[in-house]
Formats: sequence, C-alpha cells, structure tokens
Amino acid sequence: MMKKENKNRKNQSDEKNLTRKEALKKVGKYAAFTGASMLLVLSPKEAPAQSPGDSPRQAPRW
Amino acid sequence: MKVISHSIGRKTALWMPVPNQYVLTDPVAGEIAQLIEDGFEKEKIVNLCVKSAGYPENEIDRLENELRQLMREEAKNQKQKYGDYNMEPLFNQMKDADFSEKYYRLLNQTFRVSFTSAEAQFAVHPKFAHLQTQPKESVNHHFRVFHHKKQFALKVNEEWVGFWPQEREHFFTGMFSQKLLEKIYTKNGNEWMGVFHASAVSFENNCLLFAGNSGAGKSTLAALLFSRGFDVLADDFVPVESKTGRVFRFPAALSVKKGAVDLLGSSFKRLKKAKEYHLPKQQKTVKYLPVNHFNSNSVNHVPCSGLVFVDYKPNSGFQLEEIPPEEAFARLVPDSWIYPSEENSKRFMEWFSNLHFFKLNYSDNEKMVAEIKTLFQKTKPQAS
Repeated sequence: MMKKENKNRKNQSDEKNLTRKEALKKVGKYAAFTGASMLLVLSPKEAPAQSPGDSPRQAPRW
Repeated sequence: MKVISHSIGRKTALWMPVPNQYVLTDPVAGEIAQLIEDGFEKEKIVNLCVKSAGYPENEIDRLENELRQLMREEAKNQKQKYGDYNMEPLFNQMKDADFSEKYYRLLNQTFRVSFTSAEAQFAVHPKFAHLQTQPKESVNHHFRVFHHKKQFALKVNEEWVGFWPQEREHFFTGMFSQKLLEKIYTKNGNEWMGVFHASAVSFENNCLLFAGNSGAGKSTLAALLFSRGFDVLADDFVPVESKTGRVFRFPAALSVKKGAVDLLGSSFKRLKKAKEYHLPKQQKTVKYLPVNHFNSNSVNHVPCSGLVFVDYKPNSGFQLEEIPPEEAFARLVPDSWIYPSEENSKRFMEWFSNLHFFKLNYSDNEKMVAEIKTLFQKTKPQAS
C-alpha cells in the first residue's frame, strides 16, 4: 500500500516536472529578446478607500 | 493560500497572498515562482530553467533568490484589516448625545445615520445629501459615525466596524461606503472583486472605467458625459462584483472642483447654486453634483469592457491611444482595493485580461464626447 502511494506521488511529481519543463520551453522563446527580468511589486490598497482629502473637514461656507 | 499567476500582455502577474501583493514580471519568473511553490530546490529550478528555457544561469539564480525572498516575506507592519487600532473603550465612553441624525433611501432600503459631531457629519453627508429622505420609524439599517479626539469610528447595526485616526480619513469614508454597498445589494465583502478609484460611465449596457490621478479630470469628464445622455454608475468609489465582473451602481455625488464649475455650469444649472465645501487638506473648494440615483428604470450593474486613463491637459486637443495591458495593470493595482483571496485574485486577473486599455489626453470637450461615444461602440464586453 505504502509503495503504491509512493509510486503515485512519484508519478504526480514527474508529471508536474514534465508540465513545468514544457511551460519553461514555451517561455524560453522570450529568453533571446529580454534583458534582465525585473520584479515590479504592486501593493493594492489595504482596504476600500475614497480619494484622500475628498471630504470636507470644515463647515461649508454657507 | 497559494501564489496565483496569470499572463498580462507580454508579462506575467503573480499574486502573493502574504503580504497581498501583485508582482508584474517576465513569464520565466512566473514559472520560477510556481516551481518554488511546488517545493523544488534551488539547484533543480536553476537546472530546469537553464536547460529547458536557455536562460543564463546567473539570471535565473538572481530571480530565484529575489522571488523566494518575496514569497517568504512576512506581513510587515500589517495593520488590522478594518481600521488601525482598537479604540472601543474610548468610543464606548461616549454618551448618546448625537449631533444629528439623517435618513437616506437607497434601493428600497432606509438607512438611519447618526453623527456624533459636525466633523462626523461633514465627512459623510455631503456626498449622500441627495438621497436624504424624511425620518422614518422603520429603518433597515442603523449606521453611527463617531468623531472624537481626532479619531473616526463606525458602528453598523450596533457592531463596531473600525477606528481610524483623522489622517486616514479616506479609509474611514471608504469603509462607510463599503458597508453601505454591502447592505444595499445584500452582498458581503468577499463577494466584491474590488473597489476601483475611477469614474464608471455606461452606455448601451457597456461600462468603461475612467481612471487617473486626483485632479486628472475624471469627475468632470463623467459629468460632461452624463449631460450628453451617458449613465454614471459610480464616481471615485467603483465597486465590481467578483462572480460576474460587473460594475455596480454606487450613488455618491460627484465632487466637482471650483475650476470645473464654470465649465459644467451651462449643463447643470443647479451646480451654480449648490453649496460650496472647502477641503482644507488639499486647499481646494468643491461642489457636489448628484447625477446618480436609484430609480425604477435604472440599470444597477453593467459589464465592463475597458479602462481609460484620463489626463485633462489645457490645449492638448484630443488624443486617445491604446496602451499595453501590463502598463494598465501597473497603474491600476496600487490605486485599487482588491479582495485578498486566492479565488478572487484569479477572477480579478481574468477580468482584467478581457478589458481594452487606453490613454486619453483632452481639452476639447466636444471632440471628447463624440470620440468616447465611438469608443463605447467599438469595445464590446466579454462577459455579461
């Protein structure tokens, strides 16, 4: 039973490995054109917000 | 939660659950991130990338290090989700003497909103004043807005929602709108894909989002389009539903800056007589223009087909050009709230991939209105 499970796991891992290899081959076509890859980190807002300072703090001028 | 990747134009976007960040990068880095997540050792990853994709070893080595570091990063200085501090004791001491109480009618529901001070009222009321109704005994929801010792607090139906210091007032007003939105449509926070900082204009069941920096002329553009028969679904606070990707109506008034009042005055006679409000932080004066209501004929959610980054520039005439998806992504994400879950980030990136992207510079209003009408006809929503 244990052996079978290990075998399954190995197969899954091999499949994953194969898929990754294919995926990498696909992305490999960009290798010739691109320079150093950059990681552009984008942080969304931590909570819903409205425009800063878009609500009046003082009494309106009547 | 795991890392989600999606192709955005010629780039790959990765969503990192901790600390809720999107990373825009080359497709190979997306593959490396997936390999790291699948538990591959560094040596194996470098080997696979060099052999299969032909990338230089030192480049893969560097990317792998940087990605692993990002993916390991703990939530630094992570703040409490809804508000910054637990100020409950401070606000619990307050007695029930409210400064004012207003009633608003939104989509067949009555909201009673109590304000504990003039400051609390000024932070919220002007944008919703046009929805005010007569006091009623039977209400669907009770919101209480507190302002005490330079702190804002919000209670909805007797439950605390959060506490915000005055300098983070925009998060307090954002949460007020979010809670209002959830109650209007009876949808929880996690049913929303996000809230976008834009003006949502619709025409013939097609919605375009007009985004841009503060002062870029989004609201003026939305008001101009409204005066020519377009529908304004939302301004400044644009909610999109996660499941359908539809933009939902949110009926806060448009804030029109003093400079635009003369321009819009001929189309909106009531604007000249409207109350003027001073925003001390930005040293500007605005008027609120209520163009957005719920009524029996109103369509309250519309599929979205595009994103237009607006910049009003004097004497620029009119220029509208397509921009790459990756540029639009990098501009949109930091200015948006996107519900942080694996399923939703996937939906957000899929939704985004189906949009068209443009950059608009204009000063010629007539030309802008005509060309935007054509743009609505050219862009077709992918989902309904």
